[in-house]
Amino acid sequence: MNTIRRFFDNVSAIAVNSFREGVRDRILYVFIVFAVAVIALGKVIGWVSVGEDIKVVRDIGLAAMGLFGVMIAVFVGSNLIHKEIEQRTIYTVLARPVGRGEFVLGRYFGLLGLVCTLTAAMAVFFTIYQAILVWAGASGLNEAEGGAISLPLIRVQFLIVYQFVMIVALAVFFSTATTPVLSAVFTFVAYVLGHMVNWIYSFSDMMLEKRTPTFFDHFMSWVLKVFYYLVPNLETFDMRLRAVHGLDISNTEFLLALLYGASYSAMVLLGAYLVMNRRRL
Amino acid sequence: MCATPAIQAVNLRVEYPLGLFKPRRVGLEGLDLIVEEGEVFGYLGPNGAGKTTTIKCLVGVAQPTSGSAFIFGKDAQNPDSRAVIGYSPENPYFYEYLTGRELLDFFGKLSGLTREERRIRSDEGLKRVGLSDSADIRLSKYSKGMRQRLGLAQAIIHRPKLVILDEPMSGLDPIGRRDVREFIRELRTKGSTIFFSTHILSDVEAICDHVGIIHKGRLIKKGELSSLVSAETIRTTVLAKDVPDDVLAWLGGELAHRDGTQAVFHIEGEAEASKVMEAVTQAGGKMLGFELEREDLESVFVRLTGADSPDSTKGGEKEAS
Repeated sequence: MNTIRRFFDNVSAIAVNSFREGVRDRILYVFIVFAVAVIALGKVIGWVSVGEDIKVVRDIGLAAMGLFGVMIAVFVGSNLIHKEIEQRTIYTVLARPVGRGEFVLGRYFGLLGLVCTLTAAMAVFFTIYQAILVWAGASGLNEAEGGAISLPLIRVQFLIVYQFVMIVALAVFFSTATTPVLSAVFTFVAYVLGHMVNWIYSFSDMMLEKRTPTFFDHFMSWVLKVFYYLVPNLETFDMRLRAVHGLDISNTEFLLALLYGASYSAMVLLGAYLVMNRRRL
Repeated sequence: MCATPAIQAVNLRVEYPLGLFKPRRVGLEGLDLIVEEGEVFGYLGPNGAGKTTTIKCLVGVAQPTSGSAFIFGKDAQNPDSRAVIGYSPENPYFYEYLTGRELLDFFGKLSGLTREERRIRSDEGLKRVGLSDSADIRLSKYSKGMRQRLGLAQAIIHRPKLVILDEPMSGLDPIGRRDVREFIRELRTKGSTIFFSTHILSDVEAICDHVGIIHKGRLIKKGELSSLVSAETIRTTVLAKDVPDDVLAWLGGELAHRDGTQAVFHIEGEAEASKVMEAVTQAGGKMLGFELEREDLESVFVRLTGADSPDSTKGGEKEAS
């Protein structure tokens, strides 16, 4: 059989199986119910901020989509590879003409598909909910913001989903290398730090702004710079405020964000493959 | 020209790190093994001898520290070599959220079967192992025996040339064991090479034509089953009548039992037995019969490994891996 075709067949078979595993895990539906409840509750908070109903609903809704997506990625992803090794289900898979890289990629795309599908479902609910609110005459929306559906809003929702390309890659990487608990902690910490990258960069510069920086200052500045490049720059994908206020997101900015996410994920997955390849089963 | 062996292990060594400052545990210590195409090979050894480790190296799950394993001439670490292998692990661990049919479809796809082939062979496989009625039930509801049978079905869905089974009878009831034996015999008639590890010597004697005994990571005996178990006569029992007293006194060491005019002798070695029988007949005694006790597989196993019979450990602890 053609090697490339076999590669895609194997990755897709493992991805579909992983997706099926996630869909059949009932606990995920608890996350979805919570997310939907939080999005709906945005309206209640909107009442407090007079005349800004939709802005508040949008802000809370988009934040809920991001947060619950990450929670699903951490919850499922932290156990993704480790469980296969622990329960030895990986044995019968690797005893087929399947490479370890194909296995890692299959698990990755399965989880990514799951997280994206669930987040997309939240986005659909979010859009319908907004449309109902607009139809019902909710306040806070002007002509420039383009109603319940606008290009910036679609783009920002897409970027929220797209950041999971990186988060899921990190979850898979940590799952190949460590235990589920540590993997969950590391992935979540990476997510939090990912939203603090600009602060980390500024702090790194601040370390050297003293009149006579010490060796320690130089060292810490260097460590923070390394962190800045290692953690995923999730700020690149966080354009909620602009969408909330109807500001545009340029094509270049949008495409660069996509390119960065894909490159970062590819590097992390390469790391996961290298760890997996050396791992004793 | 010699045909390529189905399995070839050359100086296979596997070491496990136990900790930073601890010596490594040796799982396999320079294992050399050849299994020719068409053989039904029983792989015997006490717990922790290295049976599962060998199998894991053959199916590419474990990587040897040194040495190589080949499947029909291809390096076992190369995923391509596994296209011709069907493997069922000990206590098969499968995805509990799948149904039996979905599991076979999944493994069929990984083996490169088309959708139509997968559909037909899944049905055939489920029927063959008696799971047609449970095909659409999730594996979390399957009993151990059902999982074992499903393990066999997934191992052969792509009609492999080599079937590797790790303890296929482990934990099965007598009917389940009989079914697995039938299953292996059927595969053999279809021309598959079968390599299986087991603790149960009677199963080896019933279905294998070749046997290997592994002990402490080394293959200590290998050969045709008939050559292993019938090589030596360990004791001859002679039943004679009307043996004169002076001959009885002379054979006192071998006399096991005397009942009236009949005497039973237990004699070590075949040549010695001939001498005794000759002495009895020359002294006017009558030979009523004799029985040769040959070394069975269990005796060979115990003698070579210095262990208790593996039968006594069946269903016990799992082999360390």
